[in-house]
Amino acid sequence: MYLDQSSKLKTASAQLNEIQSWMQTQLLHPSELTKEETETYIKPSSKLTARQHLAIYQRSYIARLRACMQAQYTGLSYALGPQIFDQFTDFYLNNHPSKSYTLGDLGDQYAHFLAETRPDKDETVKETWPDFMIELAEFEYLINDAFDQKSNEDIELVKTENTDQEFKLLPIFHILTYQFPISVFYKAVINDHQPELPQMQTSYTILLRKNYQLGLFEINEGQYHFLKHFESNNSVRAAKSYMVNHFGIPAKKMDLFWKEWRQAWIEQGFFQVNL
Amino acid sequence: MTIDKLPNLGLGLGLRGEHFNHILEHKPAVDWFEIISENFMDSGGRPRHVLDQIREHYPVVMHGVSMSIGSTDPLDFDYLKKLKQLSTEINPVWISDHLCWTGVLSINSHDLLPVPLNEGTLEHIVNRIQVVQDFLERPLIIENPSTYLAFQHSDIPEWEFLNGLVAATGCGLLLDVNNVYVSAFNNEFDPIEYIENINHQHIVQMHLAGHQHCGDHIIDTHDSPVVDPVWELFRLAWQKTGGTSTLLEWDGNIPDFDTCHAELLKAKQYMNGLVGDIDLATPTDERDLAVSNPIDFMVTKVANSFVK
Ligand SMILES: [Fe+2]
Repeated sequence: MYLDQSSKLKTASAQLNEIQSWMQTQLLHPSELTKEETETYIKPSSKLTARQHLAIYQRSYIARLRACMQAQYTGLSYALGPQIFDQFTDFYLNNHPSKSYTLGDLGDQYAHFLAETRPDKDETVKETWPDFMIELAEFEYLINDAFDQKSNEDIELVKTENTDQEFKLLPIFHILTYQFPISVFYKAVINDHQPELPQMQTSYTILLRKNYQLGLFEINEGQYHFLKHFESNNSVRAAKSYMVNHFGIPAKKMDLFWKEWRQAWIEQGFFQVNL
Repeated sequence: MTIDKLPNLGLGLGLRGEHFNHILEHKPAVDWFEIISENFMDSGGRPRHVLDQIREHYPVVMHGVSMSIGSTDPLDFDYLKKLKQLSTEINPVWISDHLCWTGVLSINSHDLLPVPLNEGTLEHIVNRIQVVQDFLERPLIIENPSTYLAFQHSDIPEWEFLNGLVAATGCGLLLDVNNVYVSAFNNEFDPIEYIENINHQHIVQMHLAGHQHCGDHIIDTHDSPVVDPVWELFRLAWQKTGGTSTLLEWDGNIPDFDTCHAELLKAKQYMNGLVGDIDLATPTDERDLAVSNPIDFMVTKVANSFVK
């Protein structure tokens, strides 16, 4: 039968599509293939069978993505142990194969996935370790995101002589709270201190980026509420009176706190000059 | 713009995060750098900031891994827009990607998967290269990937397939000499015939890299020095092309900058002299199961980026 140019191309692309769909399925969901089925698509060589040729791609696919997830979730991988982490990862990738041009997005659903698949999801009394894993995953995703997000770094940091009215938080500044000491644990892992898994204990942390470098700072509960209020109102005076009114801190004492915090936070570079 | 306007940039290195500080501090005498495009698209952190400084001192080329020119999925114009946006911002000397597909049904395997080499896929990829070149308003440079299997539906040698792409689209070629060696070993073709027959006028760039020999197959790991037979193939390719921009890729177990640079400069020893009989055998080196195209160059190591 005579085929014109365009239908010839269509036939060719149908064949290409069949090969690619088959091969992708074998990478994402490897199955026991017969010699005949594999050799429908792949040539054996004198050194390797068709299945062995395919297996090189199958191994690399999962190994590459596991390595990428381990790099993005260093803390979680440490906490779970690399083998269990890989099992979670395989399960995750089965449900969320990458659809992005960049590996940077590979783990973007991971915390959500852990929450959805926690073993005690439908129980009323829940275990605490899944909470820890989920919080750690959220935290590590946030860190990756903060590291590479677009932001104006051309800022002027506040100095002691600036007035309170000139204070503004850095463009990348996250005021975080967790049920576990997530940031302390994470820092211990990346500094190779091999920490024990922590007990439940509320933590308060600042994650900021300054001159393209990330910083993590532990704060206390009062500082957390102060900064949260400051973040939404951009007024030191309002944040101070919020603390006085909501937590019953005497105004004089609050002034003393602020004096101390102000100096420490200027040194840590929390604030830019509000121009 | 056609490829004959593209310059010979000399000897370059793949830009890796591990070397950022060294490059900024010492401004080493390397001729040019190649970046992985995807690492800098949508990026506003330190890698992009460093790149902007490096661009002031060195020519830069964009090398991509996610165009998926061989896929039957429609071309991803969101991706192409971001690629073009980056090229507008950083002004690379050229843009390259691979003769491969990375996935279908919108999935990205993040691997450079081989295409069946036949008339039908040639036409399919020719059409797509033309669309991409029109969109980017510049020639695309296509690299031969490392391959680990051959399809029953392949009946054209890879070099002839690439020459077909060149003839129909005017695209340029990035000849990865190590990939020729790796694919030739795995799929039992003659790498010398490949290098002798590929369209030398259209080779804009060459790649060199190390690999891992696993006995019955070779994995392209980019984690070790270039082996002697690959250097010999490079000597042949250099002679055939009359010399072209050459770049060393080192992506796993990345040593310090000077070690990478010294490995690159070995290329000078192979630029002259007669091509003798090339001994293609390399010793097997037994290590753990290797992964092709290691991810080190595709993910940012954020853990190193904290204020000390
Ligand atoms: Fe390459």
